[in-house]
Amino acid sequence: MTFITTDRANKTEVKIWAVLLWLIVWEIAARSIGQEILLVSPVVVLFKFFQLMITLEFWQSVAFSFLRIIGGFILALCVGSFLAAVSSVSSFIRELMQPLIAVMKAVPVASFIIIILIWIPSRNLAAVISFLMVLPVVYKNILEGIERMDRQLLEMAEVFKVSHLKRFRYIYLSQIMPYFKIASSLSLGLCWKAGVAAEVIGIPQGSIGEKLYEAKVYLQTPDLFAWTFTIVLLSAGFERLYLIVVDNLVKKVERG
Amino acid sequence: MDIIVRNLSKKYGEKKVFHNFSAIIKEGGVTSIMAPSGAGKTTFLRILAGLEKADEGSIEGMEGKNIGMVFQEDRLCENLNSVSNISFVCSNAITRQQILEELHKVGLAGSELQPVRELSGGMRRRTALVRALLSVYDILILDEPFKGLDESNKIEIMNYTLKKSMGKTVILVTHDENEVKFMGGEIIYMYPHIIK
Ligand SMILES: Nc1ncnc2c1ncn2[C@@H]1O[C@H](COP(=O)(O)OP(=O)(O)OP(=O)(O)O)[C@@H](O)[C@H]1O
Ligand SMILES: [Mg+2]
Repeated sequence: MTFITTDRANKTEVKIWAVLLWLIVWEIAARSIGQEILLVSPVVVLFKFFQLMITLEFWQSVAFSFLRIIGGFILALCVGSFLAAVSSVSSFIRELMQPLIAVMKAVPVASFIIIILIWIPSRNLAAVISFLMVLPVVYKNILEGIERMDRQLLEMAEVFKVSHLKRFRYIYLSQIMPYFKIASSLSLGLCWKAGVAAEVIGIPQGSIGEKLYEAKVYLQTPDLFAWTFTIVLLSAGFERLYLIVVDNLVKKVERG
Repeated sequence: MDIIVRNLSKKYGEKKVFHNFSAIIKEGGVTSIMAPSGAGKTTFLRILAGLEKADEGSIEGMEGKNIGMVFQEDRLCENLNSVSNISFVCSNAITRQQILEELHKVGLAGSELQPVRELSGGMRRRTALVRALLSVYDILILDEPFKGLDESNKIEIMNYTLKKSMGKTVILVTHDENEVKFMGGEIIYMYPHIIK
């Protein structure tokens, strides 16, 4: 089952020429404004980025935030999938979960951040926020995947008395995978945005959020942009890597 | 032991599918079931296979039996190839090599390793048929199994089916008189309850 046909993928694909054009527009705008504090040129941002990259502190901050944000993401992935699986067989659990999930979806991230800050130290705030953002997305998507499962295939497996392990490997896995991947992509974007926002508000020492905060306080616009660039790279890079790993794992399990 | 169907009735909501349907299906032979579209053939097969409950009546002779089935739909795992679709249901004693040989016999040489979603309707149908024939079964239930096969092909495939299912109870649903003649055995006509 593919949701994005090659045709549509081509239409939404980012073209190099368009990127270059926008970079040129940016460069021209920065030059005509002529004030680095307001708008910094892309060349300076890239230079700043490489400057940061050769410091140990950069990698420490990246590791600090990465571990927490991705840790929250992975935990939510596990808990969300588990809860979805349980909800699909028990309407009690499902009804019990409904309000919780609705609240998680409706409450603004900023409110969550501040509430959680009252309860726990800012050090692990990003992990909790990342978890809270990802959980409802994973839960809803996986549950939908289970519900849209091909009943005819399950019946077929029932008639032939196929073992449950085989059913899981060849029917459940391949049918739920598209939903799992969509949920992962959606939430990987979310968890970085929300996680860093949490760090900017909670300012845990040695985090990417702290660096963004400092850049704001000292009006270091190049740093601000360079760190933003870093976050985007981390988020997009991890998503790519993650999807490749997931695809390979699934293939391995299916091929046996 | 023969399968004895007594006064079977089935309704979906207010809609009667069949009423007081009785039949005897002989053990170890072919029994063909013929009826117009919508008469309840598929419904009856599903009740036999335990996928559906009858409202009234009884069926004897199905207890503890293993069932091999070709559904009215192919019901294949789309991402898997023919070989994997078949090994999905059959016992571990059957080797990959054996599956390949059977696929060759029904003319599926060369496409065994393609995901079945890339196969033609007739190729998918044959995959579903071989899957049922290689599964562990005492009773083989076939719901229009030769649908979508061309005439020259069909004879070969019917021959193959007869050979592989020799000695087992085979229940065949079809609209095609020629298939019934070729496969031999008993014939049961099911009439819609309205006609009765
Ligand atoms: N799940 C269901 N819910 C409601 N009605 C159903 C259901 N399954 C079958 N029916 C109805 O029962 C009747 C018999 O259906 P069935 O599929 O058994 O017919 P059939 O004899 O196999 O027909 P065909 O030759 O077209 O395959 C039809 O009128 C159909 O609409
Ligand atoms: Mg039918």
